[in-house]
Amino acid sequence: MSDALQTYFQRVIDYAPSMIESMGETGIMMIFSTLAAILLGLPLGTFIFLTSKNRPLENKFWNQLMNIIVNIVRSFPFLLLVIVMQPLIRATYGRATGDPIAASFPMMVISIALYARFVEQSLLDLPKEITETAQAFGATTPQYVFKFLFVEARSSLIIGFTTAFVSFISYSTIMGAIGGGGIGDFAIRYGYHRYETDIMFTAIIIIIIFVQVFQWAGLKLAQKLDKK
Amino acid sequence: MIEFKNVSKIFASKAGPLLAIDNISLFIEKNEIFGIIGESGAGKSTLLRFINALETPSEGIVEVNGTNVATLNNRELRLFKKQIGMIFQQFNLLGNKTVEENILLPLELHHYDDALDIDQILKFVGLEGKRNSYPSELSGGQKQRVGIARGLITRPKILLCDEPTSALDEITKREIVDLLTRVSETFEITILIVTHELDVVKDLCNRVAILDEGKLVDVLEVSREMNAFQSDVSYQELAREVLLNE
Repeated sequence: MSDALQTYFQRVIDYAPSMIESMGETGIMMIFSTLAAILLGLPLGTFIFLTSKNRPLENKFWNQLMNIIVNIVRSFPFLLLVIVMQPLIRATYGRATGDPIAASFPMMVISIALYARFVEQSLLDLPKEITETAQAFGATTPQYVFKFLFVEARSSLIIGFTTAFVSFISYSTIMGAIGGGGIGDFAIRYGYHRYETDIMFTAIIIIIIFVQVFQWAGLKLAQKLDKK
Repeated sequence: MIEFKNVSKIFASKAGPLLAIDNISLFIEKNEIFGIIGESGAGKSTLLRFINALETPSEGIVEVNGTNVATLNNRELRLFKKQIGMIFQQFNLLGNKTVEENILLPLELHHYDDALDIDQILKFVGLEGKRNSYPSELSGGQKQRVGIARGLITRPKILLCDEPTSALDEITKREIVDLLTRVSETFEITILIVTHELDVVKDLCNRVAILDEGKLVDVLEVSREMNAFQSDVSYQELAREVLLNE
């Protein structure tokens, strides 16, 4: 038994450099996804909320257009979205496969759409009194967003982001299937093509631990910021 | 000061158009405490909300200090709202902001030259010790005190009160009535109160408009003879008074 364990550890040590490299690639994809979600998904979700009925920027055309785009992206089977986007990625980045930055393009698209929906939902959950108060005090739309909506929704925005982030990890493994690298690629190479399941499970356990820690930290932060 | 000229409001509802306000004309004097009473659905909140444009009349004119509210553009409307404070039935405080941050919120939205001092207003509403508390740590009465402080910090010319005591118990209600009385004595301010509670308008108002199904039924001068209440009466004493005397 101890021999088997020793062999296992030896194998893990042998494979560690390529596992770490794969995790680094996943990390790159996650960073791009996170940036896209926060810098573009948050404003997009807020925009959809603000343009909906009885909101300050009520505009049926823009609201429906953005809703349709978000729905299309979210309902697109992710692997097919990646393939459909390839010509576009090649045109803008020069190559469509083979490195984590190329792989980040479809990841960013899905991240924006996914988090925008979470943001919209968080804002819809706020009581209407908040809007009424901002209007009564003569707040501008930016003041309404930053001094009222985001203040009151901050915990649910963080929890929504945590949930979205865990989905990003799942999406990132699909990138491995088309040569995007990352931990998904690692699992396919060793677990699927070479039947080295011990190494694959090690990678899976590391991902699970990472997700658990991230979820826990997100929840703690949300609780700390929630004074309601 | 505030004048409604033949105002009407029609809401679209599933059952067809609903006449919420039916051709009301009314004048409210400067520094008056004016009550608007009526049963639920009488249109009193709608009438109040015409004043700060939270609702717009379908017909008629609402004038505040000679300004026709309907003619203001967005920017003018925001500036116009600087002179109006508002307090709400559900207090409408931001749960993630402290008492102090909630009270100071209106000052973050506009520049005011002669806003009140935070210490001064906290003392006035009796919340000096709660400055750093969050609304979730306060009682209903304390939350409404924060609401009133937030409404007053800008030294508004008009204070709109939408069912300010309806979510409160009997004792707390009297405390808030007492506080609003002090507000009117201390500041040069016109106060409008929408409520369905007769004792509140009796204790507080100079004049009262009675609304029924969107129509103005009557405007009464409030008799002051028997309005004196003791704000220091205990809950038990109040209960005894109410239960044994009626």
